[in-house]
Amino acid sequence: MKEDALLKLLKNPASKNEGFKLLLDLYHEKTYWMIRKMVLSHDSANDVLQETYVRIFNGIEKFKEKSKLSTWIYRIAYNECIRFLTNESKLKKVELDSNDDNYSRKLYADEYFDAENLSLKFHQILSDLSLRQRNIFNMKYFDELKFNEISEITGTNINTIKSTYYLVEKIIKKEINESSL
Amino acid sequence: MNHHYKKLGFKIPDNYFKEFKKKTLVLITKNNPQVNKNYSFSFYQLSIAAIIICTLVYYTFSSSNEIETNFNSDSPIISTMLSDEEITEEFMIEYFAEEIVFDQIYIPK
Repeated sequence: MKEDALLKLLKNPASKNEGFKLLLDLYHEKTYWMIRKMVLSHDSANDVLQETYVRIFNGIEKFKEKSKLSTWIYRIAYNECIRFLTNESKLKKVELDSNDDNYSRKLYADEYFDAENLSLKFHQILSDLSLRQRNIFNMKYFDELKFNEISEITGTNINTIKSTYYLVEKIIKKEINESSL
Repeated sequence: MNHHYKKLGFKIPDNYFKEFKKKTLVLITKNNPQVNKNYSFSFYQLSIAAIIICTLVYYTFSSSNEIETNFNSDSPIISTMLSDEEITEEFMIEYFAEEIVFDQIYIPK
């Protein structure tokens, strides 16, 4: 289904629920994986995903169509993740440029984490990155979003996004080559 | 999304996405019951409604104008006022003779 047809359904009160079912079909899996990579545990990702879709349902009339619908959805999800991480860290605001000291603890505490060698190495590399670097890398490498989409979602300058991604890519390649994964 | 995310070792419960969708739809529907009326009107329906409204407005105003102008223009005072003439005593006497005196004096048949 095309995005404008879906939006027509979502913005008509008579067909809003039907449109929302279609929207869930299209985006909820991808949104889940994006959130999961940020908050790490399944239970947290589930809570954030639920909150994200409630916000999407309540706010769809306010969507001005200046960006793609998917970009708008991921932006809401991203903001919900930041809100969640801020509450979780009990700090004023989560520091995007510092790395997460609890990264490994969160992973091992999650029953839905398969701790095999490859994933452990990958997470070890990711845990050394700042939250901002990790988010940008995840969105580009795993979610295959375009640089301009990542820029819109995170509210960061596109050139900063590009330079951050290429720097992280270089670090990861080096680490992987050194450990000959 | 590509297959690389499998490298991260994340797992999910069985049927998680199906269950999530079901649960979210129940939550949404409970808080926002479906609106059954369809408010999307066609151009044809809107045109018909506009014509009816315009017709009603036209007849309402045209009949009210008739009421406003429906007076006895033979009355000397009114015809005088309309023609911007000065209202003289003669007119007044004639007016009261026609409009008031005859109405109030009992004339046995």
